[in-house]
Amino acid sequence: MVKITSSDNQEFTISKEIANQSVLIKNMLEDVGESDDQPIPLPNVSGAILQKVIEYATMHKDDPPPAPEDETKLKTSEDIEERDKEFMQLDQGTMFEIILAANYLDMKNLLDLGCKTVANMIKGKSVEEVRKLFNIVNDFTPEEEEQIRKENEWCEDR
Amino acid sequence: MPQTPDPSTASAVVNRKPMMSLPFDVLVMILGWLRPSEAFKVAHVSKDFKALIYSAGYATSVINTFLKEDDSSDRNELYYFRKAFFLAPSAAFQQVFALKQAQLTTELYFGWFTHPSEIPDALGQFRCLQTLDIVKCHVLGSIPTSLSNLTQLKSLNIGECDTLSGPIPVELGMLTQLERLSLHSNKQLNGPLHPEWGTQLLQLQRLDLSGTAVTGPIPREWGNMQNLQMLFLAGTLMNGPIPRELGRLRKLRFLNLYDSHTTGLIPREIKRIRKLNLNVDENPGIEGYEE
Repeated sequence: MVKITSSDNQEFTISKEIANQSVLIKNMLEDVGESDDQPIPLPNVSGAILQKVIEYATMHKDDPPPAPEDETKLKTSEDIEERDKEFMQLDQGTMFEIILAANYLDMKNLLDLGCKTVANMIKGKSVEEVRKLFNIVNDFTPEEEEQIRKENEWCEDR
Repeated sequence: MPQTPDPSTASAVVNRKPMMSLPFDVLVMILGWLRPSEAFKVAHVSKDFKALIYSAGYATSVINTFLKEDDSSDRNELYYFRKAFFLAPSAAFQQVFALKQAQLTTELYFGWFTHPSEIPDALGQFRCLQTLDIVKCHVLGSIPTSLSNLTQLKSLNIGECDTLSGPIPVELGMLTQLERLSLHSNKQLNGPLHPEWGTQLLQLQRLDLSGTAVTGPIPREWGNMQNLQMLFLAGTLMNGPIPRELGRLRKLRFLNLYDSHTTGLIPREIKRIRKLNLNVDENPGIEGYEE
């Protein structure tokens, strides 16, 4: 078993196969060796987020190694497992924290999942909807905005 | 001293984190799942958002997501990325795409793009390119001199782009492997015919500048283009006589000067080229054959 502590000093004990899903922790374990039972500090991740990350890792601990990429299949952000979709049913703040944690912990699958989920929220939305969804203030003058919209009209003609 | 947050408020604090406060590299990773046409479409959300999408970071991310490092990229995917390369108003995107694809690309075709855009300067980075076609596009500005870096080019065809203007760059003479050079039907393309080409473009078999606004006489030096089989200059704003030196072009089969303001006597050396199809119709200044 491996002990990890969050930024707010919550301690979690997890199995090695779960711990190893984080390349960061895996490398740390390899550096310190088996015998050390000091908890690994993760100062960039809060307890609440770490709990979600562990939940994800537990869900995926029995996953077979990734199949070689199917060359004929187009890559798409819509390609998300149902259980992962459910897992990502979170408020935006938590979602972003999980993406940051996955980036820090070097967990590629979780990072991809988070990024795809946010990208899917943007896809097909109008500019107004994107602003509203992510609480972004439009700081362009109407003329500037119109110019940028116009120079990207090429996106429409497929 | 790090404070120990009260667990009951910790998640509330977390939940207020806005997307645009995420680090740049994470944001471009997210946006990297949006194809160029999906991302640029919403670039006018805000200044920061636009800066992200126009950045080299986004370009790198989206290309890494959807295209392969080798030449096994999906053809449709590649088509849409090439289209974005030509039309997206981001020099960074064009630079990164060119950098990643240059080694893998020997042919590029851009056709029927109705959205106005300039020919990307970064096109000059595709150093392995052998064939380049830009046809029926709404091209603004002129032919970039960076194209003179494409020294492997065998065929260059920029045609029927009504809004393309400016002079034909003399630097195209550096494309010494060229066998076919066609800049036909670009009504606003102007400038003189370059004498320098006569000593540079020695592989040239077909040269088509018909339907352009080129001016001046045919340079005498062009008599050195010993492989030239077809020379089309119909419907141009040239003037002056046919130079005697063109008679040295033993392989010349077609010389089309229809409606090109050509004047004077047709030199006897031209008449002597065997199997030559000569069209000098609609040139009131032509005075017939030299005795």
